[in-house]
Amino acid sequence: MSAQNDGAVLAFENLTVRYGKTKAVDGVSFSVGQGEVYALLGRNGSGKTSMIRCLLGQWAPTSGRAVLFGGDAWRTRTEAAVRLGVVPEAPDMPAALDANTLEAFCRKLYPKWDSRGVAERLQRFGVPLKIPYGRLSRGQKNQLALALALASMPEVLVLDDPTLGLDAVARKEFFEELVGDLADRGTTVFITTHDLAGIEGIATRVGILKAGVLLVDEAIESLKERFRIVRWEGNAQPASLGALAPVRSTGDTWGCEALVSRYSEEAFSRLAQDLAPTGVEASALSLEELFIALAGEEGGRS
Amino acid sequence: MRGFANVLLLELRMRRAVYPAALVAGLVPIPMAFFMKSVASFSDCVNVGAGAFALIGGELLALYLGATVLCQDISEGRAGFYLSKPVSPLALWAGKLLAAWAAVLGAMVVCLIPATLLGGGLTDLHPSPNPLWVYDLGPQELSPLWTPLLLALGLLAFIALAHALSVMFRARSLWLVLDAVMVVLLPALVWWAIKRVFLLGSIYLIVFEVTTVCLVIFAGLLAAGAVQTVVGRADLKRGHKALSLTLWAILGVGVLALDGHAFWAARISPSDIAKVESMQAAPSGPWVLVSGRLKHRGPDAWAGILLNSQSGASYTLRTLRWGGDTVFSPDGRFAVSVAFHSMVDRSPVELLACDLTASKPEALATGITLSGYDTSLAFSPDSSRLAIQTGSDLLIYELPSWKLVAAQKVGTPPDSWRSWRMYFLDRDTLRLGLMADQKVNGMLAKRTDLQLYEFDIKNRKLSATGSVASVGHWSYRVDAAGERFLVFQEPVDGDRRLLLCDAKTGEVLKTLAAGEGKRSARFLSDGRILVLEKKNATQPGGEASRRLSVLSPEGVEVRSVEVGASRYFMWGLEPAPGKVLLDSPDRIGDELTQKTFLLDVNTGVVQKLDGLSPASLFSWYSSGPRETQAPGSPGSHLFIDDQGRIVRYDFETGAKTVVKLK
Repeated sequence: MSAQNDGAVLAFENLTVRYGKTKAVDGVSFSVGQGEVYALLGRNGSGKTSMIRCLLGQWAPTSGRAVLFGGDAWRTRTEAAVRLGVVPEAPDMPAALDANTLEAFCRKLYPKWDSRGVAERLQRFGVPLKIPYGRLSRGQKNQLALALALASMPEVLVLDDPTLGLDAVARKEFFEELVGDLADRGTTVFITTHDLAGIEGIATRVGILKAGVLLVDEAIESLKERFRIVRWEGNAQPASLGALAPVRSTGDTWGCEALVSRYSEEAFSRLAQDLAPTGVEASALSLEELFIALAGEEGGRS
Repeated sequence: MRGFANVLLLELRMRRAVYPAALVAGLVPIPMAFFMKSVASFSDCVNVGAGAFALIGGELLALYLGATVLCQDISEGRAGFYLSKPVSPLALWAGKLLAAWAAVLGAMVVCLIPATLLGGGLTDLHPSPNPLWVYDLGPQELSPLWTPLLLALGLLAFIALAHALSVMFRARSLWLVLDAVMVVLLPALVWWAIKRVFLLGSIYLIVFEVTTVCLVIFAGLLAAGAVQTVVGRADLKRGHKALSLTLWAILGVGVLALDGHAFWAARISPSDIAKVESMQAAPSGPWVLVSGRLKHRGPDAWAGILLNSQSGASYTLRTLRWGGDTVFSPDGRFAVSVAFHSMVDRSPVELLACDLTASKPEALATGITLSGYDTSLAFSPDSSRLAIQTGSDLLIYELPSWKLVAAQKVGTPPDSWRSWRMYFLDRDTLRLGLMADQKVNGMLAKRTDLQLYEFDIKNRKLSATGSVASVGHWSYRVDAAGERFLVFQEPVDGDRRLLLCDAKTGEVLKTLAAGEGKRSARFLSDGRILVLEKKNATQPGGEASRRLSVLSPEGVEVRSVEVGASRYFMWGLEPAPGKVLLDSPDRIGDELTQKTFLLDVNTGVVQKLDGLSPASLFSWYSSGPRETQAPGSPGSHLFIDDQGRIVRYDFETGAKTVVKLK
């Protein structure tokens, strides 16, 4: 493990994944410390699942490596898996087996197992225990996967777009369950999701991937602090705008709008003076707006 | 281990549905048996039906499970369930493979339960513990568990094979090109190895090679699947690469080792012959064809080596060896061999020719292809021409250019078994004796007429010249001058008669013997006639004494000699003018008793040569009934002693000199 990842529970070191000529992940490096909830965001095909596969030791990176508990995830997968809980993107359990059988199978593989917790959780969400997995609803499958992932009391929970295909109620229940569990245990969570509203209240850090390149890797509060949308009347482009580090700007004769990535009260005041007497305003962004601004067609590294 | 056991148990649980399905399949033959009562007994119908369902169903199930057990999970993105758990990839592969195997075996057993309860099961059909493949290859009493064990291992290999194929086709990677190349290349290398040992006529070596190939494939498939799972995990393309490299590396090394073994096994020198079993001498000159079992190559590897008994020079024939497939020219200059490339009857054979006067004799392909076993050869007296009969074709070749001089179709009665006997009267005249057994009511008649023909090679004209009625096969022998022949006439309603006939017309010149008693007869090189008559044995199957009559060329008895008792006699060579060898091998069980007699026909003295077996002129393809051996030829002094060595016998001093094989 490199020096920069000291103390990290998981990390990616210059990770690159290629599928033939296509580069799915391009030299991504970052680390996640213990107790952090890291949300890796990105559009479909941005390389999130490839990174998770590498992290779980299921896929060998083309170059670089994924590090889990200080070891190369590819080499130490079996040992690391004991300390890991995984909720996959797509349901992957054997369709013919019921929840009881699956729970019994998993229970024998882990040294620590919370059978009561599994039973309570499944009962709470009305997941039938004797119906084959293939006949459960998508929400029930996800709750079962989460229940089994949490039952081993993992140090790291890896969630690969766990709310994909769930309705709004099920998504809410899933994240509430997750928040409750995290509050209890302080587990490190690495999550990829498109449900930005759901993750906004949970994640402590966020990474945004675009076409395999990591655009952002930052604490979510800091990110929201430094990104703003600034709007003013007219089409003037004052020099003081540069101090706010606009990522992109649009405008016409009626007014202009800029996404800035280095917002500060001082810089904003200078901009307001330069534009006086014309009015200028700055508004904060939600995680979703921030994501669209950065990972959308016109977004880029900031 | 915990991961392996859990995967195994979970997979077994997932395959539970195969057992009721197998039970239903096992019950199907019962109603079927009621409808097939007229064909076979109820129990046989049930047993055969259940056996077929179990076998075919088991193989299909093995293929299905093999193709889906892991590869489908990976290609459809469901392998993550196991790969995100603390289960090693090796445990995953082993657990899934063994669970599939157990499911297949369990289903087969369940399928056989109804038949076992109602019809006695498969043991009722196949009580012999010896499967066919072990026949005559070693221990005759193998455990009855061998067949089910091999079947079970075969099914495991089937599962691994289906998995490998599934990976290759689902991965859609460029490694499929390597797979395609190796699928063509490796069988070719295996065939090369098998073909080389095939020429040794050794079923043991062929079985050894096939078994080795099967074991290598078995090991390769299991290892390749394991490596694919460990190295590829959820990446099917990477797994395909690992699988292909592992599989083809193991198979490649195994097959190359096999080829190396085959190369070694077929690279034979005279010293590799463990014990000389037969020796065919050239009519003149020092060359002999030595045949015998080989050392270190199993119990039945056999080779034939052309050996110069004087210089020690040798050449190993690359032909399928059963002995007797080589014909020497009268002057001992050429040896021609019929080369089989297949054990299939009527498959074409190739004629190889060896110029024995060359500094390094070598049997070369003549490009002449002949039809299977229905082939006979005859050299002209000056060894400048070779007549070949193959099927109903007669071909005359010039030597050593191998130019076709003449070709002739000889019509034979349809639907009959025929026997050709031919010899050159001189360089341009070939005589043919054709015996054709016509079928009567679909059965072969025991004997028929001997039809005599003469073929004028210059004018390519075939003429019928005469016939002799009701002759026995193999009794047609022509004197060295080609003027007379001896034949046994065996009329259905009369005594067996030994006739001396005119060689061209078949006109009976004299009846030499008639009445009860078994006889054989031959000419000496000087034209005198020897008749050996068997006296009645003192007890059935026991030894009988023989009386040898020496007749003048005209058929007048000049001397009668009593020869020692023996069950069998064969004519040997003439080690000197007026002296002839009688070979009397007798095998009772595994014990061979070899007696040889040297007869001096001028004095009537009989000398016994114990433990020595003389060289012979016999060849399956030499149809020449004419006496061609030069008296006193080097081959007539060569014997196989009781230790399987070749010895040169000095008839003056009785000294034996071992001819070393090196």
